Amino acid sequence: MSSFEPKIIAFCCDQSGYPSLEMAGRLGLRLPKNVEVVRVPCAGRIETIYLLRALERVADGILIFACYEENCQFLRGNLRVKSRLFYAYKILEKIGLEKERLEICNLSTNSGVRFVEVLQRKYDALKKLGPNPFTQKV
Amino acid sequence: MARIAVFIDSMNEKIPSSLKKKIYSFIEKTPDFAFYVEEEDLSSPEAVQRMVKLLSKGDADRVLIIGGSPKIYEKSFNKCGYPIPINPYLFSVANIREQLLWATIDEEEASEKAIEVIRRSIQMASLKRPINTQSISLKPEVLVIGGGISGICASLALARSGIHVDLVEKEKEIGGKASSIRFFYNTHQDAKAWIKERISEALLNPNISILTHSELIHLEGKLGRFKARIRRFDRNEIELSPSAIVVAVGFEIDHERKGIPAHERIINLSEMERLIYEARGPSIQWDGREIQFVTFFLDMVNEDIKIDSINAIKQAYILQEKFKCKVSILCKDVKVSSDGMERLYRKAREQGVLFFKYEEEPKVSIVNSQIQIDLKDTSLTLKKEDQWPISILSDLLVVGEAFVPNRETEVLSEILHIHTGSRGFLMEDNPQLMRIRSNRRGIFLLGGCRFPQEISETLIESRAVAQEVIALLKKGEFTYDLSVAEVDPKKCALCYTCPRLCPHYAITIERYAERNVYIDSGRGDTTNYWAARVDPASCFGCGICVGECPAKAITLNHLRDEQIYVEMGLM
Amino acid sequence: MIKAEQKPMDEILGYIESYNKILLSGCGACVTVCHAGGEKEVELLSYSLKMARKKMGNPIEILEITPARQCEPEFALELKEMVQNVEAVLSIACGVGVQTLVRHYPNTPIFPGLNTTFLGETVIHGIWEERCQACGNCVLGKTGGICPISRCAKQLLNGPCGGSSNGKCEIKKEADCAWQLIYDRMKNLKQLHKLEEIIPAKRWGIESRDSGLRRIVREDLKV
Repeated sequence: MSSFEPKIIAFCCDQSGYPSLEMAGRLGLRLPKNVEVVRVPCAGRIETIYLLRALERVADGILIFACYEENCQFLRGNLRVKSRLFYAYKILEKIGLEKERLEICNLSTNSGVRFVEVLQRKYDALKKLGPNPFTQKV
Repeated sequence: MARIAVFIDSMNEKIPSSLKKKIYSFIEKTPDFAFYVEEEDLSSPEAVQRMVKLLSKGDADRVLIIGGSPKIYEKSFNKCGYPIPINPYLFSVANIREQLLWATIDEEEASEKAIEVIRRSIQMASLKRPINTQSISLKPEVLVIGGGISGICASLALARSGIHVDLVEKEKEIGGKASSIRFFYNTHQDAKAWIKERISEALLNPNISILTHSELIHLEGKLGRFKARIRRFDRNEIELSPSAIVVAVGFEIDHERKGIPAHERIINLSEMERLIYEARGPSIQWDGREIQFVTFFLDMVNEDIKIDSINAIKQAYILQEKFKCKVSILCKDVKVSSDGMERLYRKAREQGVLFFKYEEEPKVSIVNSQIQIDLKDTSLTLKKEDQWPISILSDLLVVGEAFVPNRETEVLSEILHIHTGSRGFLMEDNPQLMRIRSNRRGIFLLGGCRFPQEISETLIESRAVAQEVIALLKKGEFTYDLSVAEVDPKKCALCYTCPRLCPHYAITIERYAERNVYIDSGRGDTTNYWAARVDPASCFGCGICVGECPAKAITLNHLRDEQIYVEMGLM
Repeated sequence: MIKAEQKPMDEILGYIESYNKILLSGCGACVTVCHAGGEKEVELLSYSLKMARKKMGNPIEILEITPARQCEPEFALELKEMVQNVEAVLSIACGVGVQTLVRHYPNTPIFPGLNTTFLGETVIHGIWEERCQACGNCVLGKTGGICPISRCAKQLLNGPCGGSSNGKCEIKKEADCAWQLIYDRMKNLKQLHKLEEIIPAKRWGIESRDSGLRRIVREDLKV
């Protein structure tokens, strides 16, 4: 069990999440192992189905890095993705999967440290939560 | 089959040679691979030049860059200034720096992951499709709504560069609220004369058509196809087709005084301005009596706006210097964040103007036909018990004014489909970066309709707007690439989700191919039914509509579902 | 338009319990508009079901399709090939669509995935409200264009009941009293006198569904 390395898919908004990743790189901060970065033009591009598909096939957890509320370059992209996340929570509840596996994190362009902290926290939490039963090979 | 040219940016030897070897042997085995080149710093201009030369030979049809953050390369390619022989949307970047080299601990693991990232990027590269550009023609015609000083100055600047301006003003005359300004805080110029000069300049300029007593009642179309209906005073309507629109409708002053009693010796800042301007002789008179003590009482109605501060300090300085009054200014904060204000504040203090800061609301009372104010001054200490109670007697009390959006602002925002902020003012696209742009391409916001402003700021803004509009219209066309959302009209269920959600009003429900006016952007399809349509010139490519469409009828041309699935490792 | 919402997951799972391969069919018309049965929801429900079944240790294969409108025979027949390949069909069209499939596929079990809720309109994006009960004899012309059959809990035809208070309904406190709305509108239109006319009791048995299946026949259109 201790060898379990949770796999996290990190959706990064081009306005805040991705620049924060770059910043983390420049600061020499280390990301947890097994992080998959997906760059999107706005967090509003992320569809509910992506979250389900990821949990069904590959990911133990998903983090969405979006801009602070009321600070979205596209006005409401971050709010839309938040609503979709809540819709996904409902579905997960019906399926019987922990909703802790999905999370949104609002940050700004220069949040390199926070970016890594949040990922690390998610990593630790997922490690405690255990592997996603769907991605386990039987 | 795709032929992928691979460029490896070693980022000044940051990639360990063992990893490099593994990468080479991996890509050599890839069937789609054409050739590879290693560069020390791919984002440097020389390297970009070499790359362009190599690519023009035509051995490859798409490019994979293995290196750092895609944003760096995007920037340097945009900057390079000459055409790159391969469509920019056929470039993929495998970021092995941020995601791997700087992120993972042991080398073995890093190389394993690097190969995985590269494998995925190759997959991504072969999924990419070229995205072309289109353009729409623009005419040098601008509609300016609002004939206040901001609208006039922007019109003049536009007219000087040969752009025709239709200036629409709801009142009988242009000039707006600026006509009541008598002094500038930062120059000795006679404000009234200066503004009069601008107005007559605008009236005489052949490039400016002034439509007074008129209002915008309807706006149709998007950038390049705007159609504006203007209702004149005689209720006749005219139609204009401007290529850009500047909204400069200003704000209104609300004379409501929160908690301050009505009294003949309590006046507001604009009354004071007039009083000073009209004063003849060495002293200031009010009600036939000479005024000696004047107090400005600010920040009761609108705390966060600096116009009051600027006007009060400007007037206080003149009162103290020219009319030998004793002036005090009471406020919560002295706001001097304007060009030259710090200097004026110092000059006012040197002249003897007293500044007091309050937190608790001061008490206003009338004592023997003078106004008395009791307050606790916080300028020396914030500790409550140490604050000094102060009483000031004055002949005249000058209070601040509240600034509210124009009555027409709400209607106008609906006509123009631009957003309003929390207090009902029009909202800019991005307060930090694009203060003068609205959420719609081709519509600009200027001056007090966004946020109450001091006139000097407004003048700077009107120049900025003119510059931005000239930059848009000068080339005679607007070129955009089709990295935008696109609706498949056959799948559209007309649910109105996307027009409601689009932050840029780029989507409307339109009759496709009616009278062959609209051509479906990507495929050149023409259909004969109603469907949502994304105007590619107005779309910013955020993808919110794509994620929301219940019929999955919308695709984002440059980031389709399958591309995201590859990045997620699902394919 | 027709409004619908998804059935509880457990109910749907119950229907398809004994099948290992099904077709999930959405509809591109009304239920797409109310975000209950469009292509997006098909994909979401399909994944939810697959995951739920996988978790139970009884995986299921789901084919997906979204015809433009399930309630037309031609569109329903588009599913033919797929229906032949599955053990059952789960339809997330309205109740009409489900029955169109039933009529054309006599040998395949067809299950509903939605509750068809009402005929309604969009109040604001994300909120829909009932506006019509297809009663068969429209009274809107006499009630200022506001329907007391669908919007009054008691379907009163000649004024409000005693429970109307502060403009709200006594049965559903958050809903407006239909008769208050009718009164306000008629007053606004200066047509209050029109409300003095007595609307006779509805003949549910003749013009509405109490006498059994309703049917419209247009002889001129028959082919």
